[in-house]
Amino acid sequence: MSTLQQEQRRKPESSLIIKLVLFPCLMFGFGFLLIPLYDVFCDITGLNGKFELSPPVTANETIATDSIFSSSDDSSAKKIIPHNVILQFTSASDEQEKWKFYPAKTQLEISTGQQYKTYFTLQNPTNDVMEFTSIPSISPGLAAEYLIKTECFCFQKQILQPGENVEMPLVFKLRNDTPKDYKKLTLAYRIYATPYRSTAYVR
Amino acid sequence: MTDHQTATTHEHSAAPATGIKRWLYTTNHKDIGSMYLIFSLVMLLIGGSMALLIRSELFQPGLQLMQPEFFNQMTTLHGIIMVFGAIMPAFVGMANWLIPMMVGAPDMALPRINNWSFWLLPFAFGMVLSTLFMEGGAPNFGWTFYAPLSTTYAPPSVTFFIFSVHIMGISSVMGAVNVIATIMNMRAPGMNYMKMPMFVWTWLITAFLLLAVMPVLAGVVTMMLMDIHFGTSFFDAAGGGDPVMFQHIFWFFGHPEVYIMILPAFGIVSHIIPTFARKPLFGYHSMVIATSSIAVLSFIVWAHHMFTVGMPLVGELFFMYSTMLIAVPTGVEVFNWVATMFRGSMTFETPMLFSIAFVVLFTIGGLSGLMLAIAPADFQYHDTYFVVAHFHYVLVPGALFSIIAGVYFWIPKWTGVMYNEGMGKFHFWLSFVGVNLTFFPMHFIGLAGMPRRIPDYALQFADFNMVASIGAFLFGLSQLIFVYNIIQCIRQRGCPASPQVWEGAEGLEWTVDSPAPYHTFQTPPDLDKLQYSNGHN
Repeated sequence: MSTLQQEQRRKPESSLIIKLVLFPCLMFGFGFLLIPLYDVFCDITGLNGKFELSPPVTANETIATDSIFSSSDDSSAKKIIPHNVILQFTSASDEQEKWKFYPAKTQLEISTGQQYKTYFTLQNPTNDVMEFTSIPSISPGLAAEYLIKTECFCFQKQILQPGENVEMPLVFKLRNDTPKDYKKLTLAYRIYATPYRSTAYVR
Repeated sequence: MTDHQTATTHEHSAAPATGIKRWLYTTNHKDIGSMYLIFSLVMLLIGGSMALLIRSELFQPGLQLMQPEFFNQMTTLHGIIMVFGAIMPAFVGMANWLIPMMVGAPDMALPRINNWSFWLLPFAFGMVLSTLFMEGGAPNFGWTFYAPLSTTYAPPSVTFFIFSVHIMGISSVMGAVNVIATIMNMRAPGMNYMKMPMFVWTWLITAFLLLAVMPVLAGVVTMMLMDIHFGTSFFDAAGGGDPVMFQHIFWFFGHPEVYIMILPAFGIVSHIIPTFARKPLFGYHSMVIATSSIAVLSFIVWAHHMFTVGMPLVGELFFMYSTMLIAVPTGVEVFNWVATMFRGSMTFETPMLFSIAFVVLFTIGGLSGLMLAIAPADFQYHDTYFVVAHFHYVLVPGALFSIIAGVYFWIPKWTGVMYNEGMGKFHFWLSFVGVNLTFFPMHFIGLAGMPRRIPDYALQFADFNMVASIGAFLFGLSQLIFVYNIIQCIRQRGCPASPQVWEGAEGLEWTVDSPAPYHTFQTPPDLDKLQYSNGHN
């Protein structure tokens, strides 16, 4: 090929190729980024019925603001009248028969702003030390922000010795400003059992 | 034209190598295009045979031919092979053959990468097919491979599946980089963006979609791999993950993927309809804008595939309305094709027949898509045969018909020989009847409540299933006519084709000889001298 023809032969710009290769690499990362992004999105919008999984700090904060709100604002602003809500408890696991994971009461009629305590029972009939993770979910999902748990077995993993039977406490309240539309809420727990692995997992 | 022809024929010296080395080492866009097209034809026949096995089992209620486990493997592999092995490589093959010729470039921008992206595919699909012979069987979780079916409950062969999806993804991304670089950097002088043919435009947009979403698919299978082998919990609720997250990430890839499989089809029929209507394409600018808007909108509608997972009302409404919005640009495209035909001097050669069938039947598929987009109604239709009918209408008489139309349209240019028109028409009518016989009854059995992906069904669905199975065999076997026609062209049995081939054909690819010389446009074509027109005003 003569030099003239080589000049005429059009070549791709390397800067374009670099950009075109970089873009999919970034998109690969974006695929992974979608997970925290969804979590942040659900957090902001309160979708998905997800609770804070590490709530002691936030729960206390919310309670603190809550009490200020209820005590000081009571006189000046609109008065918040507590109303009653029926709270149902359900439990589930992959092997419901095996683990015997049940709420002590399946239903409570509670008043907003007041603190309540209830129990869930869990049994480990196997011969192994088992570790249980509980995943809570509330429906309707938008009500999640109004339910404040000060003590919950879902805050940390539960380790059960062979044959052990535990009553796990749950202390919670519904915020004062829970809308009246919420007349009946369902709080569901699903437990996942894994064999207890090593001390590395003990907190 | 003649000046230019003589210029191209004597300037190159590199003739194709002989034997297997020609195909292994080739960097020629025409050779690679041919390999892609033949590969996708083979995959079409393999995936089609699986479809026929599925339809045989569903010919009657009860389990006759296979066990549910094998049935699930067949539905999974059929989906994977047709999507990633047949439709996508066929479009890439056409892009290889046509884009350099259409924009007046001597070859693709990155010829060696081009060779590599093709040669990855036989290995990827060889690996997918080899899982059939593995202990535990082939993947059985459906082509959407929802976790935890594809993680906790998957057969061991899922790891091979993941690896082959990675390979396919790399191949597609490299192909897309190549297409974009070719279109952006190698156009003939004077061919600005708004002078490019529609096929080039639709492929440019498709290539950007590929770059954006194939890595997300690679990401999601990587997460699966890590969940299965490295103890992470992306999709495992026990470890704090979320199985619904899988569906969100998958469909973030999956919905643009749907448009990856249909936008090049829009490009193909936008060439064929003006040619046989002997009129310029109506509304070229609106066509470009509509195609781009479809591509942009495709990123914000993914969750309409998962209305039933338990989304909040706001989400349901958002995804419902944004999905319906896509009907607007799609309607523009359909309107433009019809308006192009309006008062045209139409003739009905095989490519035109397939294109008209594309317009009509794709519209039916689009309308059933609109029905599925209605969130409250979707709870009834979800996971039924109505969905199967919908996506087969957009993919078979949609994408596949456009590919068949394109092959009939350009094969005289590729081989230099006219295909057998009588057999082509016969192929069309058998396919047209077969495809409708197969998929139309599925609308009704779906609305009546027959679920997807089941090997056995309730008695009241028996008659329609029998009709669908008969139609499937009619459609499947009629493709053998297509194969025969192609082989005859490759063997040079038929009348030699003129450079322009079709009376109304416009565009640079019709200015070179038939068959197209091994090297074309070594010197850039002079658009003014050729009185270049891309088929629009």
